Amino acid sequence: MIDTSDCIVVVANFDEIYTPTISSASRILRRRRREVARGLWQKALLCQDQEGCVLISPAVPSNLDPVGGAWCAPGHLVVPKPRSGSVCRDLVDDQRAWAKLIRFLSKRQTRVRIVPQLHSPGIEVLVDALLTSGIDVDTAELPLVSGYTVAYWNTKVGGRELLQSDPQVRRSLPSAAVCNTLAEVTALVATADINQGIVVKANSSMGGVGTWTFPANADRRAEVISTTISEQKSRGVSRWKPTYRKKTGWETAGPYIVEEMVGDIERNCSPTADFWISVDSPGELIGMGEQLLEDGVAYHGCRYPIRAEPARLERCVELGLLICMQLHRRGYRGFLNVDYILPPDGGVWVAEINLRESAPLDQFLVMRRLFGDSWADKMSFVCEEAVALHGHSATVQDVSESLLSELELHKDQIALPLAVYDGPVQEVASVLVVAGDRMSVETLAAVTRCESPEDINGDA
Amino acid sequence: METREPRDVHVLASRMRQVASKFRADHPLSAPRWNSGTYPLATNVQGRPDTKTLVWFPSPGCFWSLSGGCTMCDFGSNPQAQSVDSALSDFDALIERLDPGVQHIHIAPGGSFLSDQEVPPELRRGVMQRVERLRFLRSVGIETRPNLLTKRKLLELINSLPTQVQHLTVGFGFECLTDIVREVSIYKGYGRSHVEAAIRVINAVNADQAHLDITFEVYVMLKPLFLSEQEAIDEALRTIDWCYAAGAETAVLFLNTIKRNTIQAYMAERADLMPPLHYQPPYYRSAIQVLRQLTPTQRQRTAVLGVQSGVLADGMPRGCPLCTPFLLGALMAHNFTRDPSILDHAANSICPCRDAWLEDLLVPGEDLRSRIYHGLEILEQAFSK
Repeated sequence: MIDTSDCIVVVANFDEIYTPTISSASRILRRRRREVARGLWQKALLCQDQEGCVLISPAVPSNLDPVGGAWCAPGHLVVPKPRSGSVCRDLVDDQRAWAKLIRFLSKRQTRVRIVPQLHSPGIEVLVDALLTSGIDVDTAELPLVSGYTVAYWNTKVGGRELLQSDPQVRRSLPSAAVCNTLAEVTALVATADINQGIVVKANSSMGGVGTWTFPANADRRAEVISTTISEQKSRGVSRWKPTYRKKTGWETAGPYIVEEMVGDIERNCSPTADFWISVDSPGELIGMGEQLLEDGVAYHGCRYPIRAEPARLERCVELGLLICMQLHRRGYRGFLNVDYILPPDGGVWVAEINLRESAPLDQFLVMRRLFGDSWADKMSFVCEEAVALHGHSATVQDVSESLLSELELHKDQIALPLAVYDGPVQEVASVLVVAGDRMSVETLAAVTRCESPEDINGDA
Repeated sequence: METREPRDVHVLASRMRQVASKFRADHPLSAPRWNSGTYPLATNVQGRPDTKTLVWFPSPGCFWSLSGGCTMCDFGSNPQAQSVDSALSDFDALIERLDPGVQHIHIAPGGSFLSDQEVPPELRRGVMQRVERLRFLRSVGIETRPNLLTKRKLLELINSLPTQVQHLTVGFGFECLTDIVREVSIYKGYGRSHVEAAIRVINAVNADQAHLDITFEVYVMLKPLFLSEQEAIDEALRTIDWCYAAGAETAVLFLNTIKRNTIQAYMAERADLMPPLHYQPPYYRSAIQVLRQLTPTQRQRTAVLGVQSGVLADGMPRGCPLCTPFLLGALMAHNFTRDPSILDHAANSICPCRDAWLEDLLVPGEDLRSRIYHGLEILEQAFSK
């Protein structure tokens, strides 16, 4: 994916997903900068594979050592003063941080590649400023469409519009209508066929927060619907409650997609696939896993392999590549994540798309880095988000050992903390539990001793 | 996305200046069809549908345009410009015909209201004195190039406004954010720094007086010369976002049209070229799309204009007979109500030209920068000295 002769500038800009579409995002992000930034920089570093890259992070990372060699350590760190909530704009506006970056890049005298977590208006500002400063930036891998349009495709309404542009994909979308107010949502849900389950998604919902479900034959009186929506708005989804409560105020704003529920929300399989769209390739599958969803909507992890028939998974990939093609024709370059629904009684539905680094992608990239391109043939994994860590975790080994006993893993399984965040009460981690053949297990054991993958299996 | 250093833009802008100057010498601006006139604009004031009355009076025309500036514009020129007294007499007659209940007026003489060449100081004062007759007038809007806005001129303007006016809006036709597009495709002749300096003047005057509230609005062009449909949408979005970040109260998205005696009209006649070099106006659907991609707060403050004008257009925005009336109505309804559901209905409407619009959103073969170079070369071949 990356030409290692270039100087890689990794931008932990995941939060910029909110700024072009949510009016209050900048204000909110400014307030909760540190809390958001922890973990984000770790995830940002998963997407490249070059030692000594430059990391642009919205806050000083707490621990730059790679977890078990799962990613490369940055060689140079730039943390701009927070002003706007957009790390890229803050960087360009912070004279000291900007000068530091330019000095470093000028010394390198190599072409610069920007590796962001998503394409945003901030990235455009950053690239323009670098070019203006005389830095040779390779823009070939950046989208030809603006960050504003990418942000629109990242919304529920915009993403659905894009999906409708391909006839085959359109036929795989659940029926839906757009409502601009909660009053319209309530009216629509209350008057819909009681035998038809309904899913309501706020335009900027993510990870299941801002998504409400109304199963078939459930009470659909207007007051019940209003209560459901307002209660969930204020409390968030149970598992994520402490973390996501603070996000309330933006993620549930309209417009809303009111969508028919397909299959059985408790028994559906929900695969997710990540693709890479580049100038040369209109779509390349990077990885595919099964999402772990609470109440059928709230993301709390991912596992591989997927519990579904190969033919249906092949169909998922086909549909994903068709979406890649549409995006490629529109000038998009970068990550595409597609969520699917596989009901128990058959069929393949496309739930939504995300044009950004996704959580399952992080796991695929780590697996690929640790175990090589053919990891999927011999390994399995489960990744759990927001697992509470007890006590201070000094090393990866500490965390792994603590998790081993807590998660009751058997001897062929290894737990690897991918990213550690500040939870509302204590530290939490995204934990990747991996199992495989004997050789892989030995590799994993070495990983927890913080040996680099090159030392372990040279070709990783 | 801008992909070269600014000095490169200056070189290209300088080449465009030569082309534009030659073009204007060969194609003088038209005589104005109406020396003075008025039409109502749909607007929304504090959440309620309202109208703003646009008025203009006789003036010699925009001096930037007379020198060849702005590749899309022909507000006309009036070489036998009337005296100040005569212009005021025309304006008097116009004011007499207006509804005395008018609350919002926008004075747009087809150039810069603060240009002494176009609107001499005594004419400015006279115009402001005459609007005093509109006893219910609450707000006044003017347009100017930002480099002409000085603290002295702004204070003079405020002092000449009738006492019932509580709000003054200064409009800047900034058109688009990306330097190469604004300076070469449009040949606008000013940049972000000029607008930012003007904003500082407005802020300083606001700080010095509590007599009335001064805000600014920015006019954004949808689909300048050489841009594809998707590039035009993106450029409008980033420009509107920049305007609001800079403190604009409102933004107005202008659907580009083809006016006679413009470089844009010349490129629209060049059917031997492939679009986007062969100029085609934007689709109505693109304006709807821009509005839908804005944040709710930005959308609430953004109007769409450009179709109504005191200068007749040879080429209007694109749409088919089935969608044009509906989409125009939706845009008008948006201007009045700012209700997003209207835009959803408009976007989801199906018509024969919708697929053509979707096709036009795809990436053109040549990147924008190369296309602008190429377009400039074509113009140089046609209008070299």
